Amino acid sequence: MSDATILEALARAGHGAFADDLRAALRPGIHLTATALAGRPADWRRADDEEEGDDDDAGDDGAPDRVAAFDAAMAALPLGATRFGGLPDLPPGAAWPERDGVPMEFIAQFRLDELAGLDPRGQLPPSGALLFFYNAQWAHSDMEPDAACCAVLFHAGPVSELVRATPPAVEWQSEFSDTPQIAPFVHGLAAVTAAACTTAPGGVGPFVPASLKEVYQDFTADQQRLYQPGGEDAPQNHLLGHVSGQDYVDAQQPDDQLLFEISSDDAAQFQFGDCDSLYFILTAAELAARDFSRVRVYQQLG
Amino acid sequence: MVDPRVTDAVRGGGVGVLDGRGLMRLADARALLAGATAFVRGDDADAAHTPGGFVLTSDRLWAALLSLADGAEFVQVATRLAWEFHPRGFDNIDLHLRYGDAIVPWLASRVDGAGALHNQPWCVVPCLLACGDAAAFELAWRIARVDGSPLDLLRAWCDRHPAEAARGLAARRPAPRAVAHLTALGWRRPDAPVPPPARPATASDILGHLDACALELTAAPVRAWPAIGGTRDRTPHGFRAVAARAGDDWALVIERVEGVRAAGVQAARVLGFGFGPRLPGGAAQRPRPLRLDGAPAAGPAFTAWLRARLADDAEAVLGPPAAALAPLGLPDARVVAVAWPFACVDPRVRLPSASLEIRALAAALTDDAAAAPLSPGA
Repeated sequence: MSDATILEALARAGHGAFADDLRAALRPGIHLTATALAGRPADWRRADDEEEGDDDDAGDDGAPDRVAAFDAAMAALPLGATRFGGLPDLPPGAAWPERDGVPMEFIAQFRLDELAGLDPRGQLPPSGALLFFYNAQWAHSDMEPDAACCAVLFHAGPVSELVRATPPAVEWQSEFSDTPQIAPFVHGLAAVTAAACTTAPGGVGPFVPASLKEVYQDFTADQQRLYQPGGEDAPQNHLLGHVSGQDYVDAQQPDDQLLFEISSDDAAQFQFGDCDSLYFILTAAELAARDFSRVRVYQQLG
Repeated sequence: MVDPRVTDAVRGGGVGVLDGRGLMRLADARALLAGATAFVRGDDADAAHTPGGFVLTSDRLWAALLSLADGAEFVQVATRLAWEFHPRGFDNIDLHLRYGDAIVPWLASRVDGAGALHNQPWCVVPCLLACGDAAAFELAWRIARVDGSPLDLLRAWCDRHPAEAARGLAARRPAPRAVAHLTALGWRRPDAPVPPPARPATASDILGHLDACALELTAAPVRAWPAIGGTRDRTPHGFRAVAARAGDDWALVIERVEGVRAAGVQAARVLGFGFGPRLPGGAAQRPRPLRLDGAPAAGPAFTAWLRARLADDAEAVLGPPAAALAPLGLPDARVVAVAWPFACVDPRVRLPSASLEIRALAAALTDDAAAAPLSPGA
């Protein structure tokens, strides 16, 4: 979405008089569109003794071999390539992030030199790689503010230094499941294309202009329904900009900056419990300092 | 005056006029209970509609039970009753609020000859977890299982009353179960007065440590004991045990070989389950790759190849036993015993302390004269 599209939506909602206020609140972002490359190689609870589907068997019975398809798609992916899901290319020497011994889920990886031209404010590092992991224990930062609910790894060097990771396989017992699970859960693999966009603040949060507070939810509802790329229900994956959801849990403070919003995009067969999105947030100062050690993650904001 | 929550419960029994204690008058309570042989819900036709709600027979009986003179009288009456229904509230601890730990003898009457606690009425378990004295520990120790529930009652009780639990468990050493729970209590509750582990450890200490891990008494969500079964890429092809010493410290690594592919996201691997005092929480899991040069890509051909190689020369696939130690942060440990193939136990059937093979490994770990490996390949 562009500035003009958003302001047009405001005008059509009858609030054009507040255009300057809204324009001041808009933030540039990088819209991300995913295209499936391979499905997830296994289901959630692989530690079960029970048989699940047979289609992840070794492919000797003529059934589709989704593990082989996943492996082939990963093998075809250049080192450091931007993607959703699959396996990460870790910075040299970096361990797979974990919490309490449980490896986190790999969510996405970005090759930053390919995004630099889409980042007019130069908020992201101009080169290197950024990797996002999510705590498989379902915790998020509003419930456990001091816990490691996610990990964001930044590699400043050339992507040729990255190392294609083999996932650990740790058996763990979730408090929400009677059966053990294998961590990390490996999501499907999707290629990603990026485009510059403009984002307006979500319907509730600290970035909504005071003059628009009374009408803002009506405006954003229309805006999402009429103007959102791909339609109201399309994944709104983007780097930077504003969160597209409403912040009912006070996740954001005025000096915060959204780093990455990712939806339960079917292209990567993402599944975040019963939540539809993840929001990775840090302060603007942390982003400027390239300090990704305190990024928070929220599963949903309302 | 009794706890206001107890008074509320008594009011819920339709008691309009309370005595000076905030309860049903003692004579009324005794009279009501004298005619009862069972704690029953009662028919709706017998229920009373009061401004406070719908008062069932069970509500009246409960009010009376809460209004006796003391815990001894309650135990006498409650033990006589057949418990066919429950008080209101799933986590009801009214009895403990009213009589304190004096209710333990009644709780003990809910344990059958096989050591199963019957949580009928459903306040039995919450009340036992609320009781914190030595008698309550004795009862928790005696309970083998809660009928119809996966709850590890002893573990839950220890977490609620760590100081009394530490005293009771320490008095029962070196029984492996006591050592197991005492060790694990120290992991979960660093504030508990758990005596430090003996250095060097005795065989009993080691077995208790392993039992604690096998019983999943640790604090971490990571499973601390290898599953002996599994399907597809989790199918185990064999286990190896490596026992090592580093000064007064000990380590035991149980390696589980699994996988049905030579490469890729589900490549066959060896998953090491390490145990020992150096590991946070007493245990850790670490995977490492197998040596699979020349293996078929996947499927039955791969499985057959791997199993044949393991049978022929396990070390060629698994690497030397010392390779099991480094990924677990034990690079300086000295291997003192190796078991391959190793008969890993299923804790649901038998605890490690009951395995002759594991007992032998524990003995080797405590044998200062064990200068040489106990089996080839170490």
